[in-house]
Amino acid sequence: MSKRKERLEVSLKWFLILHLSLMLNSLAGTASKMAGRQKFLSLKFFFFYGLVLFITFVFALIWQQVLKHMSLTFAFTNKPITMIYSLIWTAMIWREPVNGKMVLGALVILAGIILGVNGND
Amino acid sequence: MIKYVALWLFSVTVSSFAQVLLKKSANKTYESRIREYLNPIVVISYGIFFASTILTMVALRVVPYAFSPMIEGVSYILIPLFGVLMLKEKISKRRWIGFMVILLGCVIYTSGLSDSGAMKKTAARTQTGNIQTETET
Repeated sequence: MSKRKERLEVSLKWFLILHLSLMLNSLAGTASKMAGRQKFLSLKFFFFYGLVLFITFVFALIWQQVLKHMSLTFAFTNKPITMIYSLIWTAMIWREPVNGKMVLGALVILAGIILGVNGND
Repeated sequence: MIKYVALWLFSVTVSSFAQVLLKKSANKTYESRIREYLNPIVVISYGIFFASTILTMVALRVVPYAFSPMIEGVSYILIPLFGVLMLKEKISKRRWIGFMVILLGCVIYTSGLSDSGAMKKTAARTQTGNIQTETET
């Protein structure tokens, strides 16, 4: 544990909060997609668009606290994880086709994140 | 088309600048929690994000949504650059490589999206007038 703390520039608590907030942020994309599939200005449209705004608002509140505890570059090294979550939601919720290049891209992004997160040398 | 890609890139650039402003605000000490959010820097930052969202939506009228990972991926170069120049953050060589690898992943991902026919689907959606937005903070 202590070794991990030395390598990360933040505490494990804020690292987890950062990742939970990024997972939440990725759900805004899914809600946005749901809004896009509803009849424009219908009740369901407003519900899902409202959900997008709500998630974005909550994310913004957390993001400001996250930035108090870490450098912007460290926080942004982790941000592309939202693309990987989006890919998972695409496959699990939308049952949309996910091809090899998308998976490869996601794995390369993950490798970049791991490299960057542990790059506090 | 190129004009709209440039517009989208401009949107990503100003959005990245807004992130720097947010960090500048986060570095300051405020007398209350509410002032951490309701201060000129944060309000201006979110004003920029809002303007950036509109610019992106205008660009999306012409540029396929499938380009999103690649164009938004430019922020993974801009943010560290702004971080060094404006916030004086120190970035190790390893972290720079990490950002480059992330950008490469975004390019591969975009290529996969275009192969899956997402570009055609997006074009069809745009024509039928459905809304497809992405939140970027």
